[in-house]
Amino acid sequence: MFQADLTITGDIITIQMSGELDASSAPNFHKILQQAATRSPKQLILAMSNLVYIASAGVRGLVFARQKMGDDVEVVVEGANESVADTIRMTGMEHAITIRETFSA
Amino acid sequence: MTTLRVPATVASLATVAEFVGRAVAAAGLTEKDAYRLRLATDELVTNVIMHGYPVGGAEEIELHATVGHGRVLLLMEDSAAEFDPTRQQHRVPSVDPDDMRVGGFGLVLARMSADRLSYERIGDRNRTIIIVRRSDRALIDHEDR
Repeated sequence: MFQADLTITGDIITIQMSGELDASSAPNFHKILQQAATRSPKQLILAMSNLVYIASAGVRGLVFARQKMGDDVEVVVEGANESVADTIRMTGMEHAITIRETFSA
Repeated sequence: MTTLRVPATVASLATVAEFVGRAVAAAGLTEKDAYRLRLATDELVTNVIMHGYPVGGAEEIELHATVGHGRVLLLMEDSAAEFDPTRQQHRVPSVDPDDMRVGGFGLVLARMSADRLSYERIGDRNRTIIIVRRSDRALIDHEDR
C-alpha cells in the first residue's frame, strides 16, 4: 500500500512517501504532486526512506514533478533505499533531480 | 512449477508481487535480486495491461514460476497482440528537462533488471521469459546460456 503526505515549511514542500509505488498507486502520487506544483515552492523534497518499491509509473511521477516545477526549483529524492535509488538511476533521472542517499538533519 | 492467473488490471499487481515474492523466497535469492525480479515482472505485466489489451476488457495474464537453487524462471503468457519486449529500443529515454517524454521507462527497467529476457509467439499467445539469478553465484546454470 502506498501513502504520500505533503507538508509545507516556508517555501519547501516535503512529500513523505511510504509503501509501494507501482502503476496502481501512481495516480495518487501524481495527484499530490499536482498539489505541490500549485504552491510554487523553491524546493520539493521527496522523502523516500519508507518507500520500499518504485516502478516506472512512479519514476514518471518524478519526470512530471521536474516538468511542472520551474527550472529554479530543486527536486530532491531523499533517503531512498539502495534498490529504489538504483531504479531511479537506471532511468537516467539523476541528471534532472538530486538524489540524497541519507536524511539530512 | 507454480502458476498464477490474474485479470489484466493494475489491481492485480499486488497479487503478482506476492507470487514473485514466494518464488524468490523458495529460490533463496538476495533482497536485491528479489527486487530485480519483481521490477522486471511488474513492468512487463503493467505493459500488457496498459498497452496490450483494450481498456475494460476481461482478459487475463498467466505467470508460471519455475524455481531452481538461486534462480527463478518466470514465464508470462498473454493473448494480446504480438509484442516482443526484447526488440524495442534499448536506450534509456531522454530525461533532458527541456525535452522529457513521459514514458518509455518500463521496458528499459525490465531489460536492465532481468539477467535474461526472451520472447516467443506461439499461436495467439505472447510468451515472455524472465530469468533472475542470485548475483553472488559463481556459476551460471548451463541451461541459461
